[in-house]
Amino acid sequence: MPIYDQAYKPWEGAFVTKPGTWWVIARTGVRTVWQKWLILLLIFSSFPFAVRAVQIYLNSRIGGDSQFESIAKQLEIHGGFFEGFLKGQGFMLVLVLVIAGAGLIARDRESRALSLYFSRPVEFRDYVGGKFLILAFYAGLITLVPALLLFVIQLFLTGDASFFREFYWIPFSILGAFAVSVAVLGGMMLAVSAAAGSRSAAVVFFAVLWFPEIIRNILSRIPAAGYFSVGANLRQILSVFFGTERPYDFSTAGAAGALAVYLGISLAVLRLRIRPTEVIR
Amino acid sequence: MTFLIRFFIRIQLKSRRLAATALLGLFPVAVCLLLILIRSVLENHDVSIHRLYPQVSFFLYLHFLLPILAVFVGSGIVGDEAGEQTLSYLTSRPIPKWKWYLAKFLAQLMILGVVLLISLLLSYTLLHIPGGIRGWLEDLPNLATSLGVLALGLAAYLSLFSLFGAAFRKPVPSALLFTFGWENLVAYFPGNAKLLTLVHYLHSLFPTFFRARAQGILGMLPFEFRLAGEWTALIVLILITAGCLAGGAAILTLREYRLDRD
Amino acid sequence: MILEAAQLSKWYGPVIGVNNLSFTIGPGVTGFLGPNGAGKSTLLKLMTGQLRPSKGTVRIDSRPVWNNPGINTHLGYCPEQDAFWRFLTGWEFVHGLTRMYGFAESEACERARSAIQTVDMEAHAARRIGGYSKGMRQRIKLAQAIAHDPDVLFLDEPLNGMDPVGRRETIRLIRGMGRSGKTVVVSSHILHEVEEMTDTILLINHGRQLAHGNIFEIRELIDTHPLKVTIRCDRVNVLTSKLMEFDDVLSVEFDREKGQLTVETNRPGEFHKRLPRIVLDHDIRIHSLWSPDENLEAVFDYLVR
Repeated sequence: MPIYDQAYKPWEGAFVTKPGTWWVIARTGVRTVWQKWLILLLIFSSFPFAVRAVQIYLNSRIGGDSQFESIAKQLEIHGGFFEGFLKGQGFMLVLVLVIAGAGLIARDRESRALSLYFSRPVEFRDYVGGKFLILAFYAGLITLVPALLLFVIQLFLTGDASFFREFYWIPFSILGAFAVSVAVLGGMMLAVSAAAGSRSAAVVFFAVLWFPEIIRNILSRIPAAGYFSVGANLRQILSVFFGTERPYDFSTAGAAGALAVYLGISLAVLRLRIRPTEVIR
Repeated sequence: MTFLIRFFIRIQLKSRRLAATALLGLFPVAVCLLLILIRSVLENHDVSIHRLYPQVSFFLYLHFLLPILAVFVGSGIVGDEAGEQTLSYLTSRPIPKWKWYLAKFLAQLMILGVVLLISLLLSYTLLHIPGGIRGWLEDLPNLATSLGVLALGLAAYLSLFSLFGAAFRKPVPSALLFTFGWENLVAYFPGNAKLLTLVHYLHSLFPTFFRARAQGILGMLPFEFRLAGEWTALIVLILITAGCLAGGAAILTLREYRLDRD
Repeated sequence: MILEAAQLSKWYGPVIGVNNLSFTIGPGVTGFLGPNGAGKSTLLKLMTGQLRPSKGTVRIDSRPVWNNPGINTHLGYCPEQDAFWRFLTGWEFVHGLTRMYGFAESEACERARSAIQTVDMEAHAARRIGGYSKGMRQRIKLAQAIAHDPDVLFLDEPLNGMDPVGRRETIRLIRGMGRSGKTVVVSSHILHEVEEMTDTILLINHGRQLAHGNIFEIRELIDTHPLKVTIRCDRVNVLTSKLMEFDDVLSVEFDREKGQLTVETNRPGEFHKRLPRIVLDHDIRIHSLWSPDENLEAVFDYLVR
């Protein structure tokens, strides 16, 4: 009877992946993450939407009335209105990302499920892309969807095309602002989830966001200190999208660069931490 | 009880969480080091390093490190044991649940206290390098005040988040919501809502720092901003700590905990 | 010590973990037997006061166990889950948990040392539990349960992951404790494991009590139910025709291609006594013989029916 070589033989063939596996990961994740806490938060974060919707209604009623000129000025709907809404949702966005995202990768790592994913035709980009979409879905529910809805409500209540003619670019700005915010914050959340345990990821993410903000506060006299803060950089970029006054004295290009650096670091952490099994040849 | 505290200290000291805690504690020190390194830049902007200590202790410690550490450690007082499924070892011993809850709380308080103390001392020393030993000694009352307030704040936050840990299956989101949402939101509100925050009483014990730092914000407020009296704040914080501990222990005694992987 | 459960039920939302159990357990070893998910662990958690009964009571020597930490002085519990403070050494783990019984330092040390010795872990006690094998972790878990010499010992699947030597030693230890007048409750889903430890069992399935008492009495009860036996042999026709002559054979399924037949008999004992004679008299060569019914699930099936 021959004696067979039982040593490990790495796969020498081509690694063929199937398209669309990220979609399966995202769809399953959205269902798994859905829980009571998150629903409560989504309901809670719809209050600002309701307030803004009332503002749109009031503006449509008294907008042209000279009697209420000063109030009407405050109720005016323009780019800043949507920017304000998105900024106001910032804290809720972070909370939603924390609740939905803290365990997204950490739990897979803790239960050693990564090898289950990567023993199928799934690549790093499918896995991370799928996980990212889960965050984007929930983030969209409290930012993108209500902001676009507000725009639609405003269109309906205006009665003519004047608002649309003047502010047709707002949906694109909302989309752009959403994409940038979620790419940076979602990427960071995933990186933290990959780097920390599921029970500590939430705290670490808050620490990572808050700490630079505090430094910015301490060094408030030095504008460049704003580059440290993810929040400040995002607010700076948001003002570009909505054509409003820049909130900080540092350069917008610098803010974009800083956000790119944050995103790059997140991707590097993800690359480093998401490894199924290592074959030493 | 002494043995229990020692047991939990040993567990904390050997856990990976301590490394993470120490790392968090080093953040402010790293900032102070950075401030020293960019001293000349700061001075060009009319910022003198040795005057930054109140701001560092106020922002970096009171508003960042203290709550973060308390959330990080306190919320896991029961959850860690349930998550790791070690809770059954504790609940199958002839010890009332409140006793090990208190012991674990005290163990965490001591460890976090040491982390805070070391971190604050290092930051203080770094920021006083330009002033030399004389500056270091002169500012000691400030250090003592901030240490006292932070110790009290640590006890209050830790007991509150331990209560969250005993009451909720997932205490971290609620603890974060309280600290970074509620406390920030109502701290500058008119009326009595701020009485339902811990930070209000801690600000009251930090009056000089608080007023100096918050001047801009306070000036803009359309109402007179009142802090609590120092003694009132002190008593309220002690009462909150005791109340939260009692509440947490009561919940732990009455509640049934299912282990995570059951 | 006497353990009593009266109309004991536990449900998790709409899921019933344990359903209206009533029994009394005295000194000696009792096996809680049931397939995975039968409710054994829930029952043990109820009996050790880890869980609060939804209905009914659990008492040990007439004292309720829920929220009664005082009673834990008499109890030892070895949980099923592979859970530890993994950064502690085996010694720190057992010693720390033994100290919690209120022993003085020297006595706790002595007891911990003795327990570690009993489970044959002295050589590894100074190592971190995180580096232990599964069998070693089972043994150190057992050590913490016996270190304070409890009157009542609850062991949840104690032989899981143990090597044959460890298994044998642990079974011997459990039987010894039972003989010395302690009340030992062992849960397992493996019939022969329990059989090696005790004759007294409590059968559970879907949270319900199926049988409680001496294992032979229960077996006898089961023996009156039909049993299927599959035989693979040559001369299948001859064996089939011979077996059909007996009244206790209810049916024979015949598979010529595989060369096997499946017999259903309602007197398995007599059937097994008779088979060797038929085989020898007719020169039949049996390649294999097994009963698809002789596993725990099948026994439960019978009892549930």
